[in-house]
Amino acid sequence: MSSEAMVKIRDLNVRIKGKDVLKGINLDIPKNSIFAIMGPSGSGKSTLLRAINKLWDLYPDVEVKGKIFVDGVDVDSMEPHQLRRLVGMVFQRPNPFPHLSVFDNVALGLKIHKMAKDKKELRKNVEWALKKAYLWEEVKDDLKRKAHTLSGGQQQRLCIARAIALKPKVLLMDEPTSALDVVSTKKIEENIVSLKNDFTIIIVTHNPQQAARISDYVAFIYQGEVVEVGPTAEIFTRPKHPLTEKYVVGKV
Amino acid sequence: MRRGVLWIGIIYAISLSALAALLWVLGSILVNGLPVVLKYGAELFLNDIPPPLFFFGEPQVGLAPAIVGTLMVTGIAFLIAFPLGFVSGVVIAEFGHTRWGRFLEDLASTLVEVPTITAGVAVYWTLVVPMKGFSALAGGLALSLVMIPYVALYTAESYRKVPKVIKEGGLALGLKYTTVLFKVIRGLVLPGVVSGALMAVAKGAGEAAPLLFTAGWSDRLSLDPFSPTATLSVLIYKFGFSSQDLWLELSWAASFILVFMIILPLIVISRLLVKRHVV
Repeated sequence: MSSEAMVKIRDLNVRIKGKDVLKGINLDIPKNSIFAIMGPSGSGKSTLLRAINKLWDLYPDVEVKGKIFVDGVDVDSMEPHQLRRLVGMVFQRPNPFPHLSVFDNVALGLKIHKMAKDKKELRKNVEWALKKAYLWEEVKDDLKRKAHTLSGGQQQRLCIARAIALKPKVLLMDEPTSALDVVSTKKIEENIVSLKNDFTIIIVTHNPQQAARISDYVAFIYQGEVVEVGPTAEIFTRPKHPLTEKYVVGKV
Repeated sequence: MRRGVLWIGIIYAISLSALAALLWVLGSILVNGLPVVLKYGAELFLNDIPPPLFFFGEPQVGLAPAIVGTLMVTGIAFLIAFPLGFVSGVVIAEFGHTRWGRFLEDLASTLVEVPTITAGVAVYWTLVVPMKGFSALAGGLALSLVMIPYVALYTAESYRKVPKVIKEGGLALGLKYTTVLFKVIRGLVLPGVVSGALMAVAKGAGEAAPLLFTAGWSDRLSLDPFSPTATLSVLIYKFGFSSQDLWLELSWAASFILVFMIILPLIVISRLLVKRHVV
């Protein structure tokens, strides 16, 4: 698994306000897979995700130690904004730029990173991303619509489109369906599965069924430590650790 | 139940009396000022201020030097106050957890409360005395000290209002922090920032105290920032207690122009902008 790892995490420790939230995390995340990080609330899943794209840099009371490699490159050798070009993120609550149109939400990053040579190419890339995010059909007639007028599920797919438009190598998803209804959740899950050919996806979920439905690999995290990690089928059918077994049947 | 009704009655009565006080001030300016403005019409906006004693014939009546002076002094003050206040506001909002951010916030909150005449005194000793004369520039500088904290606190407020997740959404796209602050969320903070700028201008335009020792006085129209200039607020102060009827009239007219044609419109636009702040 490690030879083809897109993301390697070595001995990662995160302290928030003096409290150890993650302790000695080691993970190899294979290329073009969906890697689920599951665990109960407060176990440190989101904290781990935000360490990968250095979002903790903004918080002075958070201390991150350890090594993370993305596509073989040590993330500490990059500026945070360079790293975040390679590692996109979709957040727990949909957070499109509410004042911008659907089109501009996706086009903004492309424009600022100068990823389209003209308007035609920009439109093409925006359309590509919206189609990939399964949103195109619902918005194609009114791309000037302001993002805050979309439904929650549509907003989240817009956020997915916005992230993948930049063609990152890795896509981090922090419980992307936790704020959504069942129908929207189903659409987004289908969408995530379809995206793994193009991206390596790391998804955090507190819902073991979701991990079972969509992921190829699972890491079970409990109280800041990795309890067990492996192929999804194995973790759910033959867990090695008694705690994992309890968790997947909903007893933790 | 009865007690509740009584209390609500008392609260209404008190708030009505506050409203009455405001209406009384605005009403007296309207009743006394508007007729003078209508009486002299365009002359007020074109002619120089009449001298104290006029021996021959009908004097020319006007407020042009004070109107232009107010616009010039407030304009200079704005040019100084806006950039400084804006940057301070962003630092207060985004780096409020640092010592520097906290210091700026405390400073701005304190400056808002400091009597504005002290700004005049400070500029008098540091600029007017060394330059050996009053000037629109000195007046502008003194007013800018009054305006900076307003711009800073309004700017900070509008940046703080943008949820952190929106900013993180921009950062997660690989955008630099400055790009997120000044480009991505510009549309979200702009109404608040402009509203703060307008409030600062409204506050500055109405101030007389900082200008007494700095802008000086001139009966004649001057566009030179290095020359002394009259302003509406100082004119109101100077002419408001005059024994000459004409000067008293001009004082009311100046009040009307200042309040109804400059300050209130600014406040109304500012409020409308804040209301339009959808998200």
